[in-house]
Amino acid sequence: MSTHLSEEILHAYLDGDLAWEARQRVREHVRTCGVCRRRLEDLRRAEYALRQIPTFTVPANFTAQVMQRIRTASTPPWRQRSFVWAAHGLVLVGGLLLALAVAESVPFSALAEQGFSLLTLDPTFLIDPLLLLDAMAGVFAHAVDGLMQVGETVVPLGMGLLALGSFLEMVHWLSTMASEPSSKEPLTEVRPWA
Amino acid sequence: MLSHVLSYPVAAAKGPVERVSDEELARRSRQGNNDAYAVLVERYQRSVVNLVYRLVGDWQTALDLSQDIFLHVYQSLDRYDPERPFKPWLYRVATNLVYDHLRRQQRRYRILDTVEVTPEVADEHLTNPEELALQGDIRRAVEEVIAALPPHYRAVVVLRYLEDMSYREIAAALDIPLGTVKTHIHRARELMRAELAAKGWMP
Repeated sequence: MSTHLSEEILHAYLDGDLAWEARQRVREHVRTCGVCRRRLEDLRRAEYALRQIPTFTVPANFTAQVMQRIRTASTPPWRQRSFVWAAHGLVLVGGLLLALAVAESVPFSALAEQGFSLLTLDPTFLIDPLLLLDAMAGVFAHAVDGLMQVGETVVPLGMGLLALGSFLEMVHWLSTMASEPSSKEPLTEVRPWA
Repeated sequence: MLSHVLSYPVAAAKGPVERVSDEELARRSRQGNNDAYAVLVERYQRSVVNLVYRLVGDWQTALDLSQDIFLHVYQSLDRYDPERPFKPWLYRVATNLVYDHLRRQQRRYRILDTVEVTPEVADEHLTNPEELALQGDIRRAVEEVIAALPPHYRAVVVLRYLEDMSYREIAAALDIPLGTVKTHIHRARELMRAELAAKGWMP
C-alpha cells in the first residue's frame, strides 16, 4: 500500500492523541516514506515556531496599582478624598458668598472715585488720618455693592452651598467615627523577601 | 517611583517561604486577606497581560484591561470554588472581559478581527547574533500569524503555546468543546507551516 498519512493523523500524532499501535504505525510509515516524513517535520517546525511567541515584562508597579484600585473600589464614596475636598470647597464658596452679602452696599462709581483719591494720596489724608480710614472703608463697601448688583441670588446660593457642604462634611465625619480607618493606610508594605 | 515589593510569609517564623498553592491563596483572598491576593497578582500578571496583549494588539490597552481583570477577579472571588483549579477560572474571567472589550470596540470602530501588533522590545535569552536574527525573524513571523487569526483562535493558541495548558484545561477555560480546541490548534499549525514555507525557512 502506498497511501500517505492524512493531515488528521499527523496532527493527532503531534497531539499525543494516538493509541500506541497507531503511533507505531506512523513511525514505521515515516521511516520509509520521505514525503510524509517531510510533512511531519514541517508540522514539527511549525510547532516549534509557535512556541516562540515573544513575551514582555510588566511594569514593576502593576501589582501596587491593582491593589490601589481594589482599595478605592471597596471604599464607599463618602470616605474618598475627592468627596472631602468637594465638601471643603462648597463650605468655602458658600461662606464667602454669604460674607460678602452681609457687608454694606455702595455703588461702583463712588468706589472708583475713592479708590483713585487713595492711590494719588490726596494731601487731605495726611492732615486727617481718619479720612484715609474712611476712604478705605468706602472702597471696600463699593466693591461689595458691585457684587450685590449681580443679583439677589447671592444670599440663597451662599446659604445653599454652605448647607450642602456642611452636610457632606458631617456625613464624612460620621463615617470616620463609625468604622475603623482604612483608606489612610500606606498603600503597600515593603517587606524583605524571606 | 518606588516599586513596591510584596512577599507573603506563610508562617510567622523566619525561614524560606513555602510555595502556597493558587487555590489556597484564592481561598484566603476570599476571606479578606489582601496580601494573599497581591501574591496571586504577582504570579499571574505576566501571563495575563501577555495573553491580553495578543488578543487586543496594543500594550497599553493590555495593561489597562489587565488591571480591570484583576479587579474583577477579586470582586468575583465569592463565585470561585477553591476545590476547582484556579488557573482555568482566572483565564475564563480574563478572556470574557477581553471579548467584551473587543465587541465594544467593534461596535464603535468596526475594527476587523485582525489586529496590528505593535512592536515592543522582547526579552532576549539568546547569545550569538545569527541566532538572535533568526529568532527575531521567527518571532515576527509567529506574531503575524497570530495577529491574523480571529480572536477565539488566538486565545486557544496563546493558552497552548505560552501557558502550556492542556487541551482539556483550555476547553475548560474558554468554555468550548475539546474538539474545537484541537481544530484551532491544527489550523494554527497549518498556517504557521505555510508562513514558514512562504518565508523560505523550510529546508
